[in-house]
Amino acid sequence: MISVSSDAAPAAVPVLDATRRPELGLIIGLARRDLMRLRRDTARWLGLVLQPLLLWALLGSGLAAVFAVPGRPDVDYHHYFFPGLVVMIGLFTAIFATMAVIEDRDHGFLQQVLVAPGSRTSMVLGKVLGVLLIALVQFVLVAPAATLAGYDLGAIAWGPLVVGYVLGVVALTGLSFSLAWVSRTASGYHAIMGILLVPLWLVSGAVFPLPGHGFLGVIGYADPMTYMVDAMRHGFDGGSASLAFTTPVVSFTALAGLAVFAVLLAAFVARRPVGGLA
Amino acid sequence: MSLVLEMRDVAFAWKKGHGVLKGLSVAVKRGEHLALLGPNGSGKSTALSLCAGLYRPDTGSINWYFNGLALAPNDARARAQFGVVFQHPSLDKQLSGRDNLILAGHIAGMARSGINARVAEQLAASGLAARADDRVKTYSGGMRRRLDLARAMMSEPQALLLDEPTVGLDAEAFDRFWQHLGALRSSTDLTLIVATHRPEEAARCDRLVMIDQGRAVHDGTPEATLRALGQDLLALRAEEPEEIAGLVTARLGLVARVNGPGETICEVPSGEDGARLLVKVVELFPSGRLQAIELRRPTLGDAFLKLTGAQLGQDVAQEAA
Repeated sequence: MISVSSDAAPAAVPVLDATRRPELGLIIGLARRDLMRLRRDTARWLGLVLQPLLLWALLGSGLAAVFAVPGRPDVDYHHYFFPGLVVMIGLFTAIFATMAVIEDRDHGFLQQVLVAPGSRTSMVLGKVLGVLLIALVQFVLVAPAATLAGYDLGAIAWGPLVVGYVLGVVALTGLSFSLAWVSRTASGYHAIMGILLVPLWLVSGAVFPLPGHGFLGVIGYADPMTYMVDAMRHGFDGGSASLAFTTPVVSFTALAGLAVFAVLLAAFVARRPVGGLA
Repeated sequence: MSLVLEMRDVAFAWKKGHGVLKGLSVAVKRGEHLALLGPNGSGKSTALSLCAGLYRPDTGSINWYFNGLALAPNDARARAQFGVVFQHPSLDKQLSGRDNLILAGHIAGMARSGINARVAEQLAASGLAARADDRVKTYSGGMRRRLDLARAMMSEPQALLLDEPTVGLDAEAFDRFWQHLGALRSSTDLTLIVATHRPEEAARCDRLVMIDQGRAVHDGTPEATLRALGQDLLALRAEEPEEIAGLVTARLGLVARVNGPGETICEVPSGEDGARLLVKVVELFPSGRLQAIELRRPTLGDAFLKLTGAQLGQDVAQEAA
């Protein structure tokens, strides 16, 4: 409309302020936001710990008389279900925290992130880190209850346990983020979670032992959550658990691969439009 | 004066055959306050989204010019230099105003050491220091707008894109928001690009580009635009505005246009006494036919109506596309 000469002569002068760190800033900013929300809404996040704990307590009591692991009469349901409970907490946290992606899109917060200097990959990493920090707080709260399930806190392989938990939460967050990003509504996201991730948790060996063969056995091997449940079992049982479906090497390797895949998937998906946004 | 932003022949469609922008060209000078004035659906918000790098134009080009470099809108170096105030405040309502600004500082990539001082500065400038630690969900609409502006200003941008920044605000909150923008202008060399359908907002800018159906139909200062419109206007309220417009034109030779349901606008010809013409118009109609008649100065909304035949307050069908 108007003719004004531009001053856009090519130059080697960097525009970006050298003190700025857009990628790290975005990661820290988003992770910090999740912690701020945790502080502001503690009851909600505690609920994500207490609800599974209550379920564990009730199921353990109710099924005590009928549950038995073949060849392991010493294992009661409280003991069996506890690693699955920890996975459930990580899963619920990932689902609820990534649902914020949809809320952020609907309520506007996401827009400032999308026009930030940082990349979409950093946005994903920031979200994953935020969820992980919340999940770790919950883990610290729930881990002592392992004694009630018959685990000896001194005999637990804490290193592998925490590593497995971190990898599992990263994987679940990456997958949940990807699903949230492509979901048009929160109710649609809930529906996807209800028919995908929750059933996957149910058939991961968390709730009942998986047979080594047959239909459920195949599902067990294909189910990514099986490897997280097994990693938890190995950790709680001092490094190697006979109740696990897979060996420690298989479960931790698969979990690490899954975590990397899930983050890459989320970073890839985040490059496409979210709802009405680009 | 150098350019800070240039849109050249930009076309964009949400889906094939439903173009929102159809060859829009706008250049913005450094330090300028530019209004993109048009009704909802005219394409102005889409133009801003393209400038922010949220979408890419189908054809044409958009360049930001900072420190001698021509940068695409999604270039991180450009994004570090411009801020965006969206139509709906981009805030986390669960958090406090202070927390939102801290987050904005991190998200913009600011060094941690500089964030707290900048937050205090922005809270004071926006008049929100006393409510800084309250949750944003307890803020009024006007306060949220000012906080959102403060958020966009956290990174000390050279340019600011504002998409309908005062929509939903009452007159007092509107004035306060623009006072705040005015204060920013006096203290910085900030470039503003405001997409709005409010004539009173466009009137506060240095220059306005009127957008209709995805094209720029006028480019000029608000003063020159109003001057070009000429004399005073007569605004007539009646049930059948088309019929009223026809009668006024036929009997008195006036240029008349329908301005939405129930209103007809007549131009007072140059050299004519508006008050005397008002009497003539009243006498033209039998008692009760006219519900109200007003002699007033033209607004930018009248200018838009004259140029496009459309009202600024009217939604344009292509928005849905």
